[in-house]
Amino acid sequence: MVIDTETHIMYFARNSRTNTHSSRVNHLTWHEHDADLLVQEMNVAGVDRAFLISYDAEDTRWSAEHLGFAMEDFAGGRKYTLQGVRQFPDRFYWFNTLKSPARYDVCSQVDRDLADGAVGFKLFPAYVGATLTDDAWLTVLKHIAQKRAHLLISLETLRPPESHSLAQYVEQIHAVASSVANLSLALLHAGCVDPLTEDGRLIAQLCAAHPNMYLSTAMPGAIWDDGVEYPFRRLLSRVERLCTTVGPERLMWATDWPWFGDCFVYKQGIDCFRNHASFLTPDLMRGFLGGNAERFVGRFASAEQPSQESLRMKGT
Amino acid sequence: MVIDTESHVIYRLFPQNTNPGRPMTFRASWHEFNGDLFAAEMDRAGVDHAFLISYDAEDILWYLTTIQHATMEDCIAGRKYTLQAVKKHPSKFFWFATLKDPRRPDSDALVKADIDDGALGFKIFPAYFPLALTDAALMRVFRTCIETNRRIILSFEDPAPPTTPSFSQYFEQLNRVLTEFPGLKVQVNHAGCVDPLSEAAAGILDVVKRHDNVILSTAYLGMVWDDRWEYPYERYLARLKRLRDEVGIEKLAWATDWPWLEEFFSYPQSVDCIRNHASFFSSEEKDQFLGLNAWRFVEDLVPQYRQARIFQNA
Repeated sequence: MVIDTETHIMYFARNSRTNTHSSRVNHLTWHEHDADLLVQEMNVAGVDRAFLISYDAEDTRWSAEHLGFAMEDFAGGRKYTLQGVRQFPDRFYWFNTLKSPARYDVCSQVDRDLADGAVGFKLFPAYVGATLTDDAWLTVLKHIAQKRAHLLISLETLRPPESHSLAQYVEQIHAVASSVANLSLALLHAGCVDPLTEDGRLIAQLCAAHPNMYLSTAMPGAIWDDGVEYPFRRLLSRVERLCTTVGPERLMWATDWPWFGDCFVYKQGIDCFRNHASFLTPDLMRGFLGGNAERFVGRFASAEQPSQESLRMKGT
Repeated sequence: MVIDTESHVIYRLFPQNTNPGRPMTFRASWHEFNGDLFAAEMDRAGVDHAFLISYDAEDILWYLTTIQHATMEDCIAGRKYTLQAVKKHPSKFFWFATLKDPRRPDSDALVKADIDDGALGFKIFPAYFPLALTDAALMRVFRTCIETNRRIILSFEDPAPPTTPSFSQYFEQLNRVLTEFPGLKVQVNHAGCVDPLSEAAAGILDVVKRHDNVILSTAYLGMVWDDRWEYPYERYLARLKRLRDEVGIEKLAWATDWPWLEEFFSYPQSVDCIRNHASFFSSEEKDQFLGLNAWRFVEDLVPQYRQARIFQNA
């Protein structure tokens, strides 16, 4: 089983028709990336399933506006994504993005999404001005845990003092993960901290404190400095570092398709690991490419344990 | 100076609407590859110019019907569409037209129209007519190109003997053409359409070694792409090395055939595999291969090209 733990579908983002600074070389700026296309890319690449994450334009407004875009520059969202999920129910695990409880009845929205087939939720804390330890957010997170749903957190685009800092969010996640029982949690982009830097310790320590926390590894550290230079040695070195500091059994392969369409063909997004991640044994590779994600998303169905080999690899 | 010596702009190929079995990963089946997109790709890849080759559906009908079991409606592109891109990006694209069947009664007029409009030369698929390269009708076109100082781009794709000459027959005919017209400058695409690592390549390599007025364009070498997605495309690089060793760097010109192979690589990867990984080339050889040889091929035409009719009302 091969699972891509971060993908999206959309009509377009960062519209190049109305934004001259948005290059057409990233095709998502001007044409649709729908479920049909993603599934065919998955077929070519030998990918069985994907975490398909929906967000509405308002959910990513914080980031878009920081980059000079407006809400109208993104077209896609919950309804659009749900169409794709329903078209390919065997290929996608659907996650919807959480809105702010200051503006919405988020617990009701969670119930609605779960009824519609969501297996979990994505949260951009900075985008919704979240303090995760606030009562309002604790209520939402406890509700998610009670519903045995999963939570993906992305610490993208932190802008202190407009938002909390990375250290503050790591502390909040630690507090939440400690106090909310059965919260199934994964950090996207490996926590949005470059594993090759000193700050990478923050995520490693967080994971060490919470054995059930996983890391999805598209653009780890929210950094892509390999350009188009396959097999993306810097990406590989970051994942290799995470194997040491966090443990391979916690790492889940991801591409963030279609956001990196200008840097790699989807097949290259997995072949760089299959063919070049020599630091992963075949067993660890299976875990990284899908087994760990299967365990993460299936943890409420069956409580499988990490393999002994992967625990040895961790080396911490 | 970096020049891509084989590229195209295309509205649709094998459209999904009427070819639902085509994979969507072949994106030309459902979205446009136009001049704006290509110019943006060139900009980010550091490519200065491209030989932009137009063909109408009828020009590749042989390929559409015999190779792809498709029809004329499955190629939506052509001269007018390409010229839109050329006019919009005059400093980037060098336009080459594809020759229509030279036995047509209006062939001379069509050739003249393309020349008058500014085409730097003609691409010829001899097997698609099908014709021998030494057929009188084609020889007449070669003479016209010498008289008007235009270039010829040959692509020996998809021969089907005995309906068409074989590869070896085409190479022998090419030798005769180059001998008879030493002033004719010829580019052979896909390095002759035979795998440079195969014994069959000896035919084209021998011809290229014998003549100074021919270069090999190197997209999709030998019509083989067995590296798939595995950048930096070691097999492709091995084929290039063989070509350099056999015919010399001065006879080789970089090309991508964009967007035909874009499902396997991004445009920058197609040039970076040379820049960063063709270690068998010296720095000077890379410069020659990536652009200088192509520039020499068209350099004397460029000043008048800038004044061509297609740009007058652009």
